[in-house]
Amino acid sequence: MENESTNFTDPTPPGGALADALLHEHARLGTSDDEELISRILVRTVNKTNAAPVSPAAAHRMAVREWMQLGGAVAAVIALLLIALSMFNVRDGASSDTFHMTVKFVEAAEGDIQVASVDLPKPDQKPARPFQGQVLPQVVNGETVSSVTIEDQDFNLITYFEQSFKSPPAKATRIDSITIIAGRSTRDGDELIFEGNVIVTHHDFVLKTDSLRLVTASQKSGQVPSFIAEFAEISHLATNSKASARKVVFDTATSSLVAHGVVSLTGANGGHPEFDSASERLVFQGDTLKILPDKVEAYANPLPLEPR
Amino acid sequence: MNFQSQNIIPDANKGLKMYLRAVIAEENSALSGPAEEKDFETLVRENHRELLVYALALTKNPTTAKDIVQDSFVVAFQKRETFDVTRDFGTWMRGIVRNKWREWIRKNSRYQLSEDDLAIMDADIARWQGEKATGDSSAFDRLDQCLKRLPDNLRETIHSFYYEGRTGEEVSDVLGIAPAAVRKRLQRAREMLKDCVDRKIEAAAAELRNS
Repeated sequence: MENESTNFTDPTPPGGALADALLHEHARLGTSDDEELISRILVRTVNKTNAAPVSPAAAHRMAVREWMQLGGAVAAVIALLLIALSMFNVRDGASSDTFHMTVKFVEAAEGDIQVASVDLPKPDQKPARPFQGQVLPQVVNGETVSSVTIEDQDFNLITYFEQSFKSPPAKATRIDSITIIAGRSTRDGDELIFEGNVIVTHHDFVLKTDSLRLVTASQKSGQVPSFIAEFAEISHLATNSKASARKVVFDTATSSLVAHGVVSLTGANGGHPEFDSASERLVFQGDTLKILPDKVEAYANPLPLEPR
Repeated sequence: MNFQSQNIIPDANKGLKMYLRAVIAEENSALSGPAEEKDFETLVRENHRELLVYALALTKNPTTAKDIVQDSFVVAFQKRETFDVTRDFGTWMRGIVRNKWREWIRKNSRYQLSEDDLAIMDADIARWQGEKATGDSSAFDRLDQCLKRLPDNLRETIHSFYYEGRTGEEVSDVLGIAPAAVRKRLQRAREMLKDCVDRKIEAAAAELRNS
């Protein structure tokens, strides 16, 4: 056992060894299922024949625009990252390599507040003018609501009050566990390259691809490990959705999986939410799936240059 | 596959019945349907944690135990057509886990367990699996109850060692007792917990038989 010296291991099997194993397992997960192990098993059994369907429809328009809204602002910003990175090949002589990575974060409550949402002005919007009317603020549920009327349109301006001093650091620990199974793995500098039937298992998702690069940033550099997969299929467990994309990036700091160049997306009920694959990306984080604007890539002119 | 064989399945053997349904569903359909997949997933959910305990007791290595259980389910899925439906699914899975463990021992030159000890361990796990298959409780639920009944000094030692992840030496420092006393307390607590879990499972099984 990991926390157990030989002296404290019950030397008399089978009863002692069994009780010891039961206690270790109970301490690890209580009475809950081991979802990570279950997803690892399912991805190699029943889900193996159910690859995420690749729809011929390459571009859709998102109907539910509210998905674009970023969820509630994350008040805590990661102040200190403790990265425990371990790597080992588990089975000698096995047909595949298994890489297990554990990332441990310590988050502090203090810090900047991340931007919750960004609304870009529409082309037909008029430039803003200073308001010259009367504002009557009211306090509602601890918030100040000021009602104003401009050109027959009512607006509510809501003001939030926050403490003007920083809260003392309150640390919380988050542990991410990621398992990568691949036909083979090679090291290239700070990167580990996995090839051939690559399966990545995280408690939020299962990802399948043929090629994956893992940036194994060290604790010294302060970087967080991340991986990049090309032409990958994602099964997101919390939202029960599946997607395939040209490029998928996982950021361990935020535990978010970002899919660019999405080819297909199947929602929880088998539906196909519409979105524009050319200009939008999918972000899987925790139990949410968001569709956000993507950076537009500029491509070179494919036509041959004319001679001058 | 002899479909008549389903008649001999005892009502209590929920896991086997599910698996049988899955096998029959597969035989009735040229393609693997969603029903089969769901049933196999249910079997995985029902059995994985007891099998993990079994593999952990055999290997004493959490990572290897997980790999063995995972590989065992993969083998079971691949060989599902050869599964004898008159047998218990849990028994079949324990056999696969044992074989995987023997493979691991051969490759890694680890300690060997006597066949008698292995048989006793197997019987214990079989009871725990049966508890989960026939009722709503598992060995983990029973352990929850039994932990509350431990004497305070044993419970704090168990809590510190297993649930707070301290080494035996650290527990010794924290509790202010000799390492030998920690070792003795852990051993005693494990024996009491094992007896308690077994008694509760046996009592539940007897109640089920009487009803």
